[in-house]
Amino acid sequence: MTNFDMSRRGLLGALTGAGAAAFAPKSWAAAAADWTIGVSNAPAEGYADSAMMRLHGRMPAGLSGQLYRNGPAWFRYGDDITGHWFDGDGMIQRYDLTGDGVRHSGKFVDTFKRRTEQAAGRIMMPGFGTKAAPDAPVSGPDDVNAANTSVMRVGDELWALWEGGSPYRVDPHSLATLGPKTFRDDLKGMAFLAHPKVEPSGRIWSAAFMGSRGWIWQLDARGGLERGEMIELPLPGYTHDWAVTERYLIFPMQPWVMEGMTVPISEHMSWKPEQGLQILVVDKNDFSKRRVYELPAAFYFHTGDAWEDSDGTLHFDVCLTATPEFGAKGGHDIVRGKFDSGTAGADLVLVSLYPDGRAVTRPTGVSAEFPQTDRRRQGLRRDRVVHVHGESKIHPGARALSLFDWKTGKRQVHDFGADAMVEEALFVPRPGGTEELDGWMVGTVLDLKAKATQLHVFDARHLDDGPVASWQGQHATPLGFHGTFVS
Amino acid sequence: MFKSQLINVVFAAALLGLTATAAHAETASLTVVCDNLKPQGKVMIAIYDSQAGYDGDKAVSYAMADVTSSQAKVTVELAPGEYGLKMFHDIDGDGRMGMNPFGMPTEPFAFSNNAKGNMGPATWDAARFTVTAPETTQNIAF
Ligand SMILES: [Fe+2]
Repeated sequence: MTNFDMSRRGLLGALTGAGAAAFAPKSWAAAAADWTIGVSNAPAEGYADSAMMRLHGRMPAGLSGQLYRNGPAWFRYGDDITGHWFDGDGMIQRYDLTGDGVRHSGKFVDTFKRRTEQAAGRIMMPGFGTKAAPDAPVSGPDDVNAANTSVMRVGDELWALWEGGSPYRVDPHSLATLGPKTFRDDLKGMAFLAHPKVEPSGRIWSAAFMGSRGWIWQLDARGGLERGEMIELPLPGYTHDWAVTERYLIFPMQPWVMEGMTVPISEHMSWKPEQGLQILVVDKNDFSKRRVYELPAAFYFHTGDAWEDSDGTLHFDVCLTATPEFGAKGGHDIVRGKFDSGTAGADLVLVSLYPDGRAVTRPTGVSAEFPQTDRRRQGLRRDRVVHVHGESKIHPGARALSLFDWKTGKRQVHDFGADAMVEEALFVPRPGGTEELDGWMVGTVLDLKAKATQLHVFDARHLDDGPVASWQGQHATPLGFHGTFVS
Repeated sequence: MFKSQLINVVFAAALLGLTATAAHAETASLTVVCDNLKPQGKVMIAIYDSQAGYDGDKAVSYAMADVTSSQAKVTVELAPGEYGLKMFHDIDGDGRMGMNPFGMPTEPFAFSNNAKGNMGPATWDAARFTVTAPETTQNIAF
């Protein structure tokens, strides 16, 4: 869930264990742009529809549709600050791309959590890193659902996703909230990961975890329940993102285990490296057919996608760190205007699971977060992954967009500069194109100098040429996590 | 998923076992009026007369009411004194509080005084009230 790529390899790499602000010369600190606009409250009423200003270029022929993005956008009531970045109220940003340019609007997901806290004028609901107020009215997971992590289009609806509760249904046109999605009466309140996987056929896979039990969701392309089944997990660990191939579901379970039943949760997760990173592989057709591979302990938020070789070897890309330090502490600090440039960033790694039971990692030394692929190949062989990359000395998070080719080992990078906070970019296929990454990368950047969010379009196979067209909005919108492009 | 783990563990131990009914006639009557209901099934109410009973799910009496409109009403006779109520709307009429596969409630529930739980059932202190003769009413908003 983080794009905060706080690598030790940065210019401040020598200053391990200390925040950049503490070491920055006063003049430099004064000159530094204020990155906290990325974790400040958005207007409660949302952002009215407005045209973005074209900076350069033209909308490529064949590219049109809506980019929807979700992320936490409400963090404080006066001095009362949420305990963790991941606990901010979700807001859907909508970017409408046409031949005439780009229009932007945004609206909070009207969750029970948000309604309750807005009425009370304070932070009340428990979360990932937030304590429950003594009078927090919590009767089930959707009462604390922040609906703030991702958004997908299913049928005629958007689903604003969290990972501890139901998808929140949202109207894609008005962005009005319709309420939590219940797949079947007896499955009310079952969690649904913020990283569902959509097969080329349209079938949707997701999951929920509770201790050492996992629940697998199999939905049709319209979001109807095809199958839901419980499985046993190799350890009661943590998984935010996962991967699928044509035949398998791959759950890399990290040894980050919940101890005790008190909030804030992030302070009660225990890192147990001796248990390793256990990768559970489940047969899509028969969940009882399973295999567990093991790697040394490591942590990640995001995987790319997986594929299977003809000999049965499975591969997936993942952004690995040594420990869950950011998840535990970084997200608490960020919303308080603090970041630690000494916290290790994630490395782009290819994990290979061989038929003989070996699990092997191929590190690249490339800092990476928010990996994205050509989604038409979800679960199928492909070579390339696009991700945010590179650190800035004046803010947490990434400053570049980058492409890595597993076949050639070659990279492309577009550096937006030190003032840019680069968000996830999504691949949009060129109509009629079939080759991998034949299309565009569409993504947003919070530009700290302009104090505005920009939208950039790249030719996906030529990132290092820079954006082919860019627009700048009228607002600095809070940093988001994930989104979806609806052509 | 952290959140569901947490909430589930708290709920798994709560709000169970509302199956039997046994009237306990005395001198005061308690009327429970429930609102905001979907018109189907029954409201099931467990009545406790002490903190120990409330916390340990040892009810002294039960009541239930058919739900045929958005409001359901039931009156029981009790000895005057202090009581707490746990109730749920048995929408599917199976006599049990519905749980999802992780053990979290799937049917609406409530407590006397409209007390709200915080990661679990409302506390006895928040839910307790006094039944006095001749008649006491609890209005519950589901
Ligand atoms: Fe994520």
